[in-house]
Amino acid sequence: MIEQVPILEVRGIFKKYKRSGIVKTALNGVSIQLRPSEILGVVGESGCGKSTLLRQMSCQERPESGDVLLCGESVIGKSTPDVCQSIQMVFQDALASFDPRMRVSASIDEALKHLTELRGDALTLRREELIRMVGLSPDLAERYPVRLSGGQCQRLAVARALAAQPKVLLCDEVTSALDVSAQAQIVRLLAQLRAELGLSIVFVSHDLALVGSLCDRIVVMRDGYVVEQGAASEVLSSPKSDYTKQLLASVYTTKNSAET
Amino acid sequence: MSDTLLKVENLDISYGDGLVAADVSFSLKKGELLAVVGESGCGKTSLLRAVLGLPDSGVMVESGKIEFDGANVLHMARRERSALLGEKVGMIFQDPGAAFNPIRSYKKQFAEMLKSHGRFKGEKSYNEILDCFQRLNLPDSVRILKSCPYEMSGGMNQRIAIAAAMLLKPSLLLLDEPTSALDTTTQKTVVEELMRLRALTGITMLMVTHNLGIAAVMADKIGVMYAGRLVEYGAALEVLSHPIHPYTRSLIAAIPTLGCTLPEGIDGQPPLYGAEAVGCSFIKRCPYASEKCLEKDCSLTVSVGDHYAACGEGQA
Amino acid sequence: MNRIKCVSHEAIKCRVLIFFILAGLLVALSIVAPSLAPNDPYKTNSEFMKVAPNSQFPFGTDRYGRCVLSRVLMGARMSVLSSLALVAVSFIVGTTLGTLCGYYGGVLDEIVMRIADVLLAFPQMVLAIAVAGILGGGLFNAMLALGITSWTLYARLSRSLVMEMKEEPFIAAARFSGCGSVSIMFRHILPNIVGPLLVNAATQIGTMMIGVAGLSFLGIGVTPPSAEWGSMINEARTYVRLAPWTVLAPSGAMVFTVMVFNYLGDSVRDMMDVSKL
Repeated sequence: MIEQVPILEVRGIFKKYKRSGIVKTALNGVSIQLRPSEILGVVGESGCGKSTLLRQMSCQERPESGDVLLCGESVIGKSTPDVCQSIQMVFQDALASFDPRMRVSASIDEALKHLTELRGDALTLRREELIRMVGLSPDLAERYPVRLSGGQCQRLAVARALAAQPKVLLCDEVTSALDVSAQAQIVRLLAQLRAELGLSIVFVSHDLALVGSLCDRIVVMRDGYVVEQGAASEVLSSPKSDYTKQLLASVYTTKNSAET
Repeated sequence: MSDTLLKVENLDISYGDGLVAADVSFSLKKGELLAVVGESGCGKTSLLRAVLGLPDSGVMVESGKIEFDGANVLHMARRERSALLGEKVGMIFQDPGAAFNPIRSYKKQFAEMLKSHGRFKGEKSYNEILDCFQRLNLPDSVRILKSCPYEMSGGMNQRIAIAAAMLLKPSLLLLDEPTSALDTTTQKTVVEELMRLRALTGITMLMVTHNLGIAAVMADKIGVMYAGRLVEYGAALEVLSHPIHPYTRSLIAAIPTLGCTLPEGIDGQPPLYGAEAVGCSFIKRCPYASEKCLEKDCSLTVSVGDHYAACGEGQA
Repeated sequence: MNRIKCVSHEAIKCRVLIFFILAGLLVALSIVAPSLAPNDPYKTNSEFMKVAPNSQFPFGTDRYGRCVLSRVLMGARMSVLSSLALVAVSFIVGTTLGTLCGYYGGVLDEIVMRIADVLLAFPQMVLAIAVAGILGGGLFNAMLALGITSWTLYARLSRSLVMEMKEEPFIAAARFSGCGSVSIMFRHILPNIVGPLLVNAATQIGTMMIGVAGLSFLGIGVTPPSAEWGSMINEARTYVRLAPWTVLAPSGAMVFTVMVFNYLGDSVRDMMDVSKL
């Protein structure tokens, strides 16, 4: 069997931060691969380095050592605008990820203007197509971000990210600020986008159950280290690491509680 | 002496404009834990504020009754109500940092709290506080007392907030999404601590949460709110295993389980001022909607024993 | 959240409009002053010296028999327009420097901020007096003297606002949308920080007006026979008891104008606050 080239890969990433004089290592030699059309879950608690990892993957920051490869080619040293045609990101606070003084449609148009050749009517049509793709009606985007709910904002953020027709979508705790029903909508949307567009997704979250329901493979992180990784079903049913077991034991669902 | 500590009847709540919650009724026996669940904007936090009666919260009770230990709270003078609720009712907030001044030591703030209720006894009080910490399994109690909130993690601050709330030995504890801002493992610690607290002191709790899983583990009774109305109410186990209202059913289906299947979303958004609407506010998102829902009486008319709901279409 | 909202948003918007219109009228008045003046502001009249207000000279005359009203109107030109110009230039220069420093940081930030620190180490008026004294009198030199330090207000404020704003998620999202640094600074950051800056600008108009008048009062700003409120007050100081209208008229005009711009600044600030609620 031919090994597929991972669409996005980090090898031996080290990243340090200086905070009030103390140097903290956020990532300790982390190596992760994202395969084409795969949904990879990254789980861990706050401070484990998952958001930092995403920043290195999207070239927002440069790691101290290690390599970041996009389709096999190194992108270390490049900046976000260089890679944003291929790698896009959706943020935790959907409302704050839109310019509060611009209508959401204008924000999406800006992305389309910079990242595609479309102009005029073609641009407007494509914007409406993107908004429908995320399950919303185009006139919703005419509002200002503050007039939309968290779930609607997040879906529109996904629509904007799709403007570039990226290969990779990085999702940084995109469901953490949402209600349980909005969470379910986003997660289903991501699964649908993978199925329809072949999108590869990195889904970072602290919610193990949510990650388990969406992702093909799971990476468990703690204090900047990868503690465990493998197929989602395996990691959840037979975790090898004690930390993973601890995380699993902390998940409350109605099913396991109702049975006790 | 009646068994019921808190009784709420036909409560209408607003912030001055439209109603944010309407016709809410429930009762809490001593030692019980009622979890009020629902999406954001459903009015559950407003309900807590109305029960607590904080004058600065902006919450106004338009009509209805709130009875605490037999006394009609809404008919009391403000000072009387403050005195009663200050001692007998404690509150835990969602943001662990919200209850304390981040740059003053816990020792000073606890002392202040006791002094304002006239219960400060000097060294004796500090020993009581340390005792309380130890019973709640807080490690290194002496060091905690000397520290300031900004030095502590969110989880630790929340546990200390619980200890603080318990210092005055209240009979009712109100919890506003106590674990939403916390990490997964910390959530578990706080949940276990709250359960231990109940076992130790038999305190009554009214908890607001959007996490049905935690409600399942902790609550005796569950009340489901949607767009300002209580749509289902009953024993926790019953409501979760045999939901009656379509919304409850949809909500349960939206929770991710560890079984690797995608959760079911509920299309659309809850309406903003559904509390005042005629007919069922869930009509646009309900899989069982029909024309008669437009004029439906949304009080808890359907019942199966002690399990009540506003609509029976969600039954299996 | 209080149960009773003290002032409604509508009332605040109304206030902003009223003061904006008033300020606009003052500016318009300054521009058309020459055509409005009933008499020649520079013409001396030996037979009408220190005359009390009457039909020919509505605000009376000064010691040289010049019409006070006409001089006040011409003075408006000097005071109002020069302060507006000064504030506009300081605003643009200061905000640009501050934005670049806040966004890029590094060496530029260090240099500009240290220069600002040095300039601000001196009391503003003392430095202005020294600079105006060295450069000589005249309106332009007075404005330059005040302008040396007035840009620092905007530079520091915009720098700290930019530093805060560039950490916002929507700025990172703009980078993912393909925006370059310049586009981010001008399309996304500036419109979101301009509020507090404008409020400061509105209040500074009054301060600058008093600054120019102060320098003129001391004799190193606008000098006679040019009509300027500060120099008029200085001139009339010696005979204020004989002809109080010669001091009252320019002072009154100055107080009124400064108040209008200050209230404008206050109402704009209130409007910004309320919209954040």
